[in-house]
Amino acid sequence: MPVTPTLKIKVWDWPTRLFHWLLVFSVSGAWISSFREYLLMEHVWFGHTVVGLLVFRIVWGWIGNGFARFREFVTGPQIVWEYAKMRFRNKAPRILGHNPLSAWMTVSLLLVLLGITLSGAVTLAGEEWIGPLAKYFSMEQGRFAKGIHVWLSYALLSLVTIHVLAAFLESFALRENLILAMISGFKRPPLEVETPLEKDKYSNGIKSVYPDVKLQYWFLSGFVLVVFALTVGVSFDYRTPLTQEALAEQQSPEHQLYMSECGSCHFGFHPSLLPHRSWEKMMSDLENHFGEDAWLDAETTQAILDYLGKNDAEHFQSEASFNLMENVADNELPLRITKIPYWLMKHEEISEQIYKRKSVRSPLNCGACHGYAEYGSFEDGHIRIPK
Amino acid sequence: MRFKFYRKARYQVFGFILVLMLSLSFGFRAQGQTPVSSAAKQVLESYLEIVRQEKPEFSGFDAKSGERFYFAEREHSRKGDSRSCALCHGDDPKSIGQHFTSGKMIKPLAPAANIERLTEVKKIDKWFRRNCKWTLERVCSTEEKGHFLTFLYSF
Ligand code: HEC
Ligand code: HEC
Ligand code: HEC
Repeated sequence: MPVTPTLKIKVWDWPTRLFHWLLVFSVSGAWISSFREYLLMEHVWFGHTVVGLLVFRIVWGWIGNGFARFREFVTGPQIVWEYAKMRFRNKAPRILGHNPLSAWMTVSLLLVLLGITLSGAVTLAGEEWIGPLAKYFSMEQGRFAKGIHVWLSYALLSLVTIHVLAAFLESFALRENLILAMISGFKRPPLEVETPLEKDKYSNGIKSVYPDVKLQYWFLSGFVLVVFALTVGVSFDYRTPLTQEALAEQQSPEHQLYMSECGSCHFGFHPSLLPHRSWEKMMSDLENHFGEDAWLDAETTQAILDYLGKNDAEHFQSEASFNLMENVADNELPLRITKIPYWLMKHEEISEQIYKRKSVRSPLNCGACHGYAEYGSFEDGHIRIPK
Repeated sequence: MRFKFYRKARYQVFGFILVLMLSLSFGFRAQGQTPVSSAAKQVLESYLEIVRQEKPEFSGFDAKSGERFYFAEREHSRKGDSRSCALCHGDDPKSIGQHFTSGKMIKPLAPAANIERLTEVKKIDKWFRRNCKWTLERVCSTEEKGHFLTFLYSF
């Protein structure tokens, strides 16, 4: 079919375009949410979206329409070099899809993003002890991964800057709105430019590609189904029993002992929530423990007291412990966390109705509302009152 | 056409056998008795010895008496509320219970549902001591404890 200049050619198929803008959305989201600690869960959510998009794009690079296929646009270093030389002398042919340079930009963006998400997952598991991978990575590995995560993010930021600049410059140079093309999918048809380079590769070497539409259909619907099942069924809330168990395994034996002895009747309160004198008093009379017998043998009692002594409000200073202790005088001996003024002030709006819920049942059930209470963290971002 | 393989007779036979085997294996799983842990065995033997010293004619612990004990409600002398083992451990020892005052989830008490249960002599003693005191305001008798453990193994 002869192409007339008024005709437009569909270059970017709709899945590729959707992919591009969703990636812009989720990478920006991940970037913005990385500025605040309490947006961690949002950050992770954006990260997951990026992973899903990457999986999609890599498969689409094989089964997508011609312009989306890696085989059609990724070229060897020699051609890239030749093209670059021509481009800077402003003698390069106009190429409909990715030119050899932008092809490598695409590939590097994808690779860097892959590295960022992988190192992010390891950071989350190792350093923050969150997620199903928490069991498999240590704190040091998490720290190491975080370094990679951060540096790759800087690399990504530079790549994105170059990518956006190039898109603008090329738009002016070619007098064609490339950004609009990524929205509509259409571009001007190629002019007949004679080039010394392999014509088939550069002008529009797509004619040989006939995508398997049925395969695309199955992949797209399967992909959407899997993503849907993951978001709805598995839910990206990390407070699953699986995570809790993985976390427990990461903890020191002393912490585990404390949790199994003092976390059996009620939620295991983090030692930092009370001062040392309070724990000492409480541990000295476990037989009469708030109307219950919590008796322990002398050896276990001592071991727990040692653990409490290393992590109490004086030693493990967190936001929560600092605020709780602020208005407790040195001569006071609080035994109940839930009677400390700061606690009462922060929870006064919680109605009886909420405590009647089976999922909460009592103010002592800190973990029901505070995702990471077990680790002494009561960040606003992790508060969720269960139904 | 390609996707209708399940219409073919041999796939139907295969599917039938698969479902049959699955349901059989579930059936067997439910039938199997949970083995008594060595700790529980040790505890039960010593209980039996103690009870036989007082009642030589004692025939052995039975799950029915244990069940009655598990559900028996008793009014607390000071608090006035009625308390039973089931209050925290739930109506079904095979499923998760919830601590009455703190709301904390308690893992199932029956070893059939939670293999970590009744595997440590010290732990069994400790919890009998605590829970009997809270529920009954006294210690549990050896006979009661024996019936109770036998009941937990009856699942
Ligand atoms: C046998 C059950 C049992 C065990 C074991 C137990 N507790 Fe308690 N604990 C309770 C009960 C019951 C309460 C009071 C609940 C209420 O009245 O709301 C309580 C209350 C508390 C409180 C006050 C909470 C508040 O702010 O109101 C602290 C702190 C506490 N326990 C610490 C511990 C420590 C430390 C250990 C381990 C040595 C421990 N508990 C073991 C049953 C237990
Ligand atoms: C029914 C749900 C619920 C339970 C149970 C609960 N909290 Fe909270 N907690 C909240 C909510 C909601 C807030 C936020 C209140 C606000 O910001 O005004 C909060 C705030 C806090 C804060 C302040 C956080 C900050 O940013 O300074 C601390 C500390 C805290 N809770 C500790 C505890 C402890 C310790 C327990 C268990 C003894 C507990 N909470 C039990 C719902 C709960
Ligand atoms: C106030 C709540 C409460 C009541 C009522 C209660 N229990 Fe428990 N029981 C617990 C808790 C909490 C545990 C420890 C759970 C854990 O280790 O996860 C426990 C554990 C036990 C265990 C230890 C099992 C093991 O792991 O080896 C035995 C045995 C037991 N209870 C017997 C009883 C008996 C008998 C009664 C009734 C007389 C009773 N309980 C009533 C809260 C209760």
